[in-house]
Amino acid sequence: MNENQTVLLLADGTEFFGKPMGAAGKAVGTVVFHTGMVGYQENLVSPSNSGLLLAQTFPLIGNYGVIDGKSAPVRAGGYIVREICASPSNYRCEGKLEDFLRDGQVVGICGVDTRRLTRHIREKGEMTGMIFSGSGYDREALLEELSGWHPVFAPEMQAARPAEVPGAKKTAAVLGEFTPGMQALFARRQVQPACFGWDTPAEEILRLKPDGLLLSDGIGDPTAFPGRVKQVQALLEQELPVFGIGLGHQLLALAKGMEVCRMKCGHRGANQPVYCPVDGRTYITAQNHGFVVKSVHDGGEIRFENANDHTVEGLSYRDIPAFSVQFLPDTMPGTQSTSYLYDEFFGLLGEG
Amino acid sequence: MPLRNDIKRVLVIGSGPIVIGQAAEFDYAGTQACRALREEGLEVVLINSNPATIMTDKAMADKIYVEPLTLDIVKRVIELEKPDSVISNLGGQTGLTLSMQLAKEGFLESHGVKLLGSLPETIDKAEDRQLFKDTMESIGEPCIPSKVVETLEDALDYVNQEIGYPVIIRPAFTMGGSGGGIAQDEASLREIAEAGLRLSPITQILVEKCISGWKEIEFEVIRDRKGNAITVCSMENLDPVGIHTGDSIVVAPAVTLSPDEYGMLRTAALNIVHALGVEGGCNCQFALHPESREYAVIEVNPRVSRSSALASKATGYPIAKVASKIAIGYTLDEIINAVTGTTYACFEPAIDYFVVKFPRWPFDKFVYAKRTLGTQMKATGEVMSIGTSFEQAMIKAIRGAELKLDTLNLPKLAEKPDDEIDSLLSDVDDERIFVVFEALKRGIPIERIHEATMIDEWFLSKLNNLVELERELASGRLDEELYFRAKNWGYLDSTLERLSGKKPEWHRSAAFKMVDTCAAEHAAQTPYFYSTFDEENEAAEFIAAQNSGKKKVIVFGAGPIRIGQGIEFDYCCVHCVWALKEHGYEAVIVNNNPETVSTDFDTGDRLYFDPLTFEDVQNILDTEKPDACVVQFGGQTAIKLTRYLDQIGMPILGTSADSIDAAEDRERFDQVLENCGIPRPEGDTVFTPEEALAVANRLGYPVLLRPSYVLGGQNMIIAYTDHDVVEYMGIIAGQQNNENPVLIDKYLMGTEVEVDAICDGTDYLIPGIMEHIERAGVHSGDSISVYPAQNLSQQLMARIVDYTGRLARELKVVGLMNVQYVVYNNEIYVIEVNPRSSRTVPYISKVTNVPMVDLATRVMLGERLRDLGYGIGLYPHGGHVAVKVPIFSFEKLHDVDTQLGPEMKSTGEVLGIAKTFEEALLKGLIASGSSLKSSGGVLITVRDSEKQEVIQIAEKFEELGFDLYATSGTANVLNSNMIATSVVRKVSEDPDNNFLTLLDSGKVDYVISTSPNGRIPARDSVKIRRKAVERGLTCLTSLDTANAVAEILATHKNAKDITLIDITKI
Repeated sequence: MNENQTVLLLADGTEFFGKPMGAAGKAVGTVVFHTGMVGYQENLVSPSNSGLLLAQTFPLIGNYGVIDGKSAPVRAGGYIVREICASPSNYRCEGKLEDFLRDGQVVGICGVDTRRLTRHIREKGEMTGMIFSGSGYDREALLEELSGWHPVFAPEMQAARPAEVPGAKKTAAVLGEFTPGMQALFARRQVQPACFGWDTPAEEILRLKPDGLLLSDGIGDPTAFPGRVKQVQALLEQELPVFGIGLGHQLLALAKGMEVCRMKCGHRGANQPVYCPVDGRTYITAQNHGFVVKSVHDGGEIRFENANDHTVEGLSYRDIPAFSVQFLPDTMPGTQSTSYLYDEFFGLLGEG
Repeated sequence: MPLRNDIKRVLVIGSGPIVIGQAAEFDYAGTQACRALREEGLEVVLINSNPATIMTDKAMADKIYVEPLTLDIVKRVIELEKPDSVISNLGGQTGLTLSMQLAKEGFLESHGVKLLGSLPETIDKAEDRQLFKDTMESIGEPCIPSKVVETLEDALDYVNQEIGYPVIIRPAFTMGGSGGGIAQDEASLREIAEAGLRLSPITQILVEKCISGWKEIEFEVIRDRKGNAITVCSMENLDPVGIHTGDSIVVAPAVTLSPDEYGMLRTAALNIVHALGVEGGCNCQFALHPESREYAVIEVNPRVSRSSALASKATGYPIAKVASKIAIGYTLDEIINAVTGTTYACFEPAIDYFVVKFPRWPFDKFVYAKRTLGTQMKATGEVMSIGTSFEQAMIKAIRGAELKLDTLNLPKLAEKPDDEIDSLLSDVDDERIFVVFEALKRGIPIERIHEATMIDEWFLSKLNNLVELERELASGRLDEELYFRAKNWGYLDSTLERLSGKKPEWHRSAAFKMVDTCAAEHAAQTPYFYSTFDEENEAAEFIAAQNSGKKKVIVFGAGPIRIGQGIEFDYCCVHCVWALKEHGYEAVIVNNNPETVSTDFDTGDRLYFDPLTFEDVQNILDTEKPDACVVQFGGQTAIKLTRYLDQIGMPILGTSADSIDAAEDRERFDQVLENCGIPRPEGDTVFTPEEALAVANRLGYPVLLRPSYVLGGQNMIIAYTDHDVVEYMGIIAGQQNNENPVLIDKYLMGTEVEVDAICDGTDYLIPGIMEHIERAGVHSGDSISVYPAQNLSQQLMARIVDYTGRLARELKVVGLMNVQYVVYNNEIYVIEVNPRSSRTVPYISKVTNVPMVDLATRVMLGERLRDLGYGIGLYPHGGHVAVKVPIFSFEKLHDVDTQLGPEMKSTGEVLGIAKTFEEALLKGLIASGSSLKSSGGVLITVRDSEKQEVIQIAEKFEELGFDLYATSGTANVLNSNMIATSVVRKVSEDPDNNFLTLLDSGKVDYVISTSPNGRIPARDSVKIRRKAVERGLTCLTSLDTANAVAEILATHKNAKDITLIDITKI
């Protein structure tokens, strides 16, 4: 490998040579692919992608540049693309994606046949990998390093600080990710969000006397933090209405004694079909997860399932006023497919 | 909800003949639909007047009516066949409009027929301008400020007093935007609005604020009755709003949208299909302001369309098939995704490549046509290319379009000064992309180009990458890095050699990637590939995994549809593939036309969606390592690969490269004819105008002139005088270098006869002999062709059969052969022999029941014709007469002279089949859209050489009670022969009362116009013919056609008198 090259080295020894992109150096993480054709910036800043080496299957990334780049920091651990757009075009474009990556200290690699990578991961499963740029590439030594590496999830991210909702009559506690889209939905229904980190003690949350609980999406392996599961269990004792999304859905399931496992290959994209036996409809959803609820016991009922691989995509619970979804319901105004789930949650607050 | 149990027998209405705006994509969609329905065990009744389609093949439906697509005839088919349902949304605009009329009149209800697919309410909401606007407003989707008007005065008031210029005129219920246009001022508004009102079947136009320059974005959406809805594909037009999407360069997916804009428009598309209640496919077109979130819905088509065909091929998602299943009751979540075989149709495809669509325009044939592009589509076809970068897809598209270009450099622009290039940027025509490229080369800033064209800077930067690459190549540095960069951007080795001036030291063969709808997320089974330059070769893996042990044959397709090379060749390629598969071979298709059945991924065993140049083909051969190739079904596109394939030692099934050359090379062909003892019209080869004049005078006028390199009648003329010869030689001198000679032949004004034959090297089978109604001189593709020949003696027929046999043996033809003869003074001359498939193969196969391509394929594989059960020699006539009538798209092409000649002008054809010649012709003429009005007026103006001959035709019209009008010369001759004719003045003689105002007056229904010269739009004769086209009058430019029409009128028969024929029973 020469000095101008960068390599993506997978734990199974597969190499992908390319060119450096973003920050120089070394990044180690689980390599995953994302099939969305737009939304690269959202992927990079998504907390659920924290620490991951993220590959995009669309061959040219950065077409509209970076928009509102200061709103959220990059969380992905590394970035893998085929081509990065040198001349982005959009009226709101603030700069090039490559500069955004460099400023965000993201080690990246471009010039990779991302389809080959995707096929490899699809067959072999998501695995650890390393992006390495610079001199002194020693394949064997780096493979050794990879074999001893275990995902360490980034420390608890800071809780969001939601804006005051004027005239709010209800309050919902939010654990985990809180997006601007959610803020808009809360504001429309006059519900005041109160955001907390996953590790906030239950008593502290309950002191606020919330009318409901939104367990939102977040980082990584839900089984790695038994304390969080316990905390959710404590919160559930209050019989508050609960809505789980993504990681929140998984933690809720664990709290209710169900099993969650790692997927061979996660769902990451904007085109996952999800079937709802309740209304017989199939919804196209955005997803970004590598774990999934595996066994469902009597207390829960499958409310959504993936139309392709039939994995659990949503549950409702018989004994508690709670329901949850694995996918990320639309939060953009005007989308009519799954944003109704928020309305359902807000409706439960009124009854409480 | 699975299949509805109240559906057993479905009527499918096809889209009719190929015209600009409604082309082969509906054969593709219709074929998929018919197959999808039959797969479910439904009986399919089909009506489609287009005989060149796969859709009208006997295997496609249980009952097939190749009958005129008029409301009355569709009603009669319903009465006869008693289907329980009719599908509205798979037969293009024609099928949609007919279905809607049937529903609205209450005909369907009274006959107990259900309307499937889009319902009348849906169709109305999408197509009726006011209803559409109201519907959009009710769901908060913005439209462009506009008003529906029914008079010119209202149009003028609205624009002058409310919205101002420029404005766009869109006539209601016309396809491909016929009759629309952009008006910059009052004069042009008057002209366009008037034409639009006339063309609209309900005399209604939409006048709207012009938003030219906004981004044009399309979404293809599918919705089912449960309300599941998905967007299959987003597409972005490189050419902003202002150019019809059919004439735009289109990329998929949309590339310059942020998630915010993408989500906004996707949501809008989904809202729209819900509001309209679409059940099936729907195309939503948006205009997006380039610098804000402001957008407007331009148009919604609740049916399969050209865009849906493109989206299907771009993603692999079979929209027409899924739409058909939805129409009969299935929902998206019940339909398996045929690409993966494991996932469902209810998902949105993710693609991991770029798609570029590039239109193919007919301006090479119509040199005087207005090349300006606007809201009226002008392209006859298109190519699609797939690449891992935009640059690669773009370069592939350019060379795939067969414009004799392999880069974006248009030679004629190289000479022009910078300021001219700059000013050319403002011309919106088919060459603008090349002007933009030239401008970038000249260093004209991207900002300036963007300002002039409103093409997004993203595209301009990408094109500039190519400019810079070519600059590096031109500097002579062709190192490894540059070579591989250029390969990744789609350049051929031969192009690199030309641009850099040196032979590349490296050679990299392409690797192939799969089109799988899911960006590799799931393992897919689609044998659908495109080339790129990566290490992993998925096609090679696929072939190895299949390891079928069968012999492999590659069939080369016909590329983009253009005048002279139409859907017929796709028909032949598809049949060849089917025959190969049936006989135990693995059949591989190479083609780049997204509109066709051949590029459906389940037609062949594998599909390579790539251009058909030597190098592209070589890459495929490297991976496929086939046992043999087939070139004789893909028109000239495939034939021109012959010599190359021969050189590299690739076995070609059927007729050899040498024989093909012998038929094309004039000297060798003369020798062939001499060996066969068959005469051809006397002729010679010349280089200079002087030589040409000498030869022309020796042969005696009229003579036929054509350049030696040309095929398909391009640039061919009939010269009647020295003046014509001089003018022609002048034009040719400007177009080619002097090394290519011009061929001059004595023009024999006899009966043209055409024969298709299947030959195995020894024996030959002639399914039928066709006779043309028009004498030689009108291109065979533009002639009304009659099977069987009506006016040939047994003796002449026998000689034609004999000659055909001699030619087949002498040329050692194995497979198909097409021969054109002219019968003149009881002598038979050969005009042309083509040892390949021809445009008449589909219809002759259908009418005679001889599966020509299947038999040809079998003899090419080594079987003997006499063992195939169809006999040898002339196949006995089965009792039906078939008349093929050409269809033109003249109303779409301004300034094109409609006079028929040796250069082909038609875009499609219809067929009339009946027990008698008269009825078959009547059917053909009705199907061609002729009103066949039995009273009214006829305007006659013919060239001097035909003035005597026109007398008897005029007499026939007079006897039928028509009022006759003629220009002074013609009128003189007619009046002096006791045929009362009113003299009509020229425009120069009287601006207020002349032949143009006469045509406007509505007194004339038929125009018979021939002239010694044509083409140049300023000529009076051309003006008459153009006016006739614009007024929708029947314009006859050959006395033979005029005579045939007069004779049909004299029978006093009309559409009510025709007998419907199910061709599966022939």
